[in-house]
Amino acid sequence: MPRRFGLKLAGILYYCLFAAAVFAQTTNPTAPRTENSKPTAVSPPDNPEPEGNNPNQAHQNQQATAPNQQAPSLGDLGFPSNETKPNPEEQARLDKRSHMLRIHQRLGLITTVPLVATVVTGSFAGGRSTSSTNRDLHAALGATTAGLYITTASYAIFAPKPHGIETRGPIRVHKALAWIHGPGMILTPILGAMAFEQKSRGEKVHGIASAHGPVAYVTAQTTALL
Amino acid sequence: MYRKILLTLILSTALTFAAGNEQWVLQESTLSYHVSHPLHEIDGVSHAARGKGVCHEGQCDFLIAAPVKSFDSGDSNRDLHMIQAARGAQFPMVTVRTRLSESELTSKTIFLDLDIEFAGQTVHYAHLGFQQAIEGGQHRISGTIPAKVSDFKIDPPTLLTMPIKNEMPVRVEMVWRSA
Repeated sequence: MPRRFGLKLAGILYYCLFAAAVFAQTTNPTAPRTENSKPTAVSPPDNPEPEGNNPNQAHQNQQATAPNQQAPSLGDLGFPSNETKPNPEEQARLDKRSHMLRIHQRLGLITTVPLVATVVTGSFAGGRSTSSTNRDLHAALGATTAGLYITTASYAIFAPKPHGIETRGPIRVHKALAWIHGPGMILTPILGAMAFEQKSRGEKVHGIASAHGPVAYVTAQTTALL
Repeated sequence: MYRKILLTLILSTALTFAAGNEQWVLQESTLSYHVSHPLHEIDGVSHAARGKGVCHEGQCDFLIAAPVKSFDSGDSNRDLHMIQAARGAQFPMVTVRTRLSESELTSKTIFLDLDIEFAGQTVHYAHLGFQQAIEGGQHRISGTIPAKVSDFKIDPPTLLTMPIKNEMPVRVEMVWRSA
């Protein structure tokens, strides 16, 4: 008899607890109601675009949904902490890298101007031409090109390198070509200086200096390919 | 007799709670942003998103997140520039939160209000239509988010001094299943 009474009491208590729990959930002020599923508090958007009647409006920095304790959080998704943790140092490195590579790109574009001019004036500086003015102009443009090229390259060389990133895409071609036009841009002015000396002495360009033209041509071609 | 009633009560309670807290898991996904530049078109794709949905009192809250660095455009240099421009090391995750009523879970077209957190900004996109196909317990959801670079206060990246266009639509393909 007492056992049956105990079971009866347990049943009543359990039912009361269950009813109380359900009642507490339905009256929880933080839990959203069905009618509150759409945004209710709409703050003016930062976006200066006119709203019109377009339903697909983007509004910044506003909460569309009321806070919900049941809503999943980022921690529930199981991402490794190193993927979700902010890294200001890495951001600073990326900022510096992008800044340096932007300068690299702009200087590279600027360098193409004296490069083209050097190639054009080169056709008047060699061969049977005896004009020292053309040679001087060609030499000056060549020196400017080499100087700008080295400055441009240094911004890429000294830009911070990201960790653990495999190089993919057209940048691989860009980097591979640098192994051709880089040495070429060092060799060309050296050979050019030798050719200039020989020509200034009234000699015909000879020896390794005679490679100045072909080396310059290959260098200019690969540089132009970027 | 009382034992049976008690067991029935326990069972009904468990079922009530189970039904009221249905959970959803993102099984697979493809998120791709599209960027236009005067010289070329770019698509960055990520399959690394994870997501969870929790239903409670007829409402379902969903969270989808993907690491910013998981987007691959086929050019590592461009991807690094994207991470830098989107402040992806400072704010490494892009998260999307939405809520819909449980009754809409089986609709062919679902309209969602999205809160997207990206590049340190939270942007609300209202009433976006997504298509849903249900096959064997799998809910395939697809649609496009009409995002813009300026929505997230990102300085438009440039190539050869020419900036990308402001439009950055994000194509979403997801497969959800009940957990």
